[in-house]
Amino acid sequence: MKNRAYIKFLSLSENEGFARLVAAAFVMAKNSHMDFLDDIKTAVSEAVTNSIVHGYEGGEGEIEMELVSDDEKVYITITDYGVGIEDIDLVRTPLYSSKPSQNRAGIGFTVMETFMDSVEVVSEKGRFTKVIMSKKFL
Amino acid sequence: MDIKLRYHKNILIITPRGEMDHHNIEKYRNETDKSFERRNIKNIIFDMSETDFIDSSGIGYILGRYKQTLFVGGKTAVAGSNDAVKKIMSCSGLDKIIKMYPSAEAAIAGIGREAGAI
Repeated sequence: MKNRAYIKFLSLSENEGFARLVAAAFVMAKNSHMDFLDDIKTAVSEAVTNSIVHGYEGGEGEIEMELVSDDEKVYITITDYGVGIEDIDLVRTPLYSSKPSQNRAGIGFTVMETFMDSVEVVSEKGRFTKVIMSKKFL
Repeated sequence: MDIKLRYHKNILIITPRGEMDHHNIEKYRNETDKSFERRNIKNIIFDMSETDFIDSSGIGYILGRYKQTLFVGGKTAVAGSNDAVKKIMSCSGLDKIIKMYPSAEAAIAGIGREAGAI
């Protein structure tokens, strides 16, 4: 059976916890395995933190999260309308950080790639960044 | 999340309780940095036994403290991690440069032996 949910929230850091709990609650109906939920929560936290810290650079904006599931997989799309990414390959490089002085480890995308089955990034400079991730239910 | 700080000689033991993400770290970084400077701390132990969640922001925070202790010739250790914490530690490679111990007490003993914390 197919399911779909959509939320939109402000780019406040307190919404990092909100977004990952919403995502975990959404997938729980299909798979409540603790490891699976932890992986989903971590990946969502990375994408939303990126939107807040890099997309909107700490300023105010809106972040959208769409959750879709079928019998096999969950698909999570997180979109911001911030600065966008000029060189997607560069920001996906492990240990690369555009803000190294701020105690950023530069492994956000590495974590998403490790915890999810697929991670796709679509961005246009000055317009938007969209991260589309999927993971097969255990 | 809240954070518990305790001290053993020149070791600062940080126990993050709850969710160690970007939002929570921003709140507590100043507090831990102040303790580090004021008390002449050389070593830091992260006691993760009460940590429910950590993402790469948490890893960045640990990495930042590791650099602080390195600068003063000390050590940073991570203790009491659950499987979720271990997974992100290994995916970041942090487990290669920071020693992991089963408990804070084991970490205190380990640092004492290695660095002569006394």
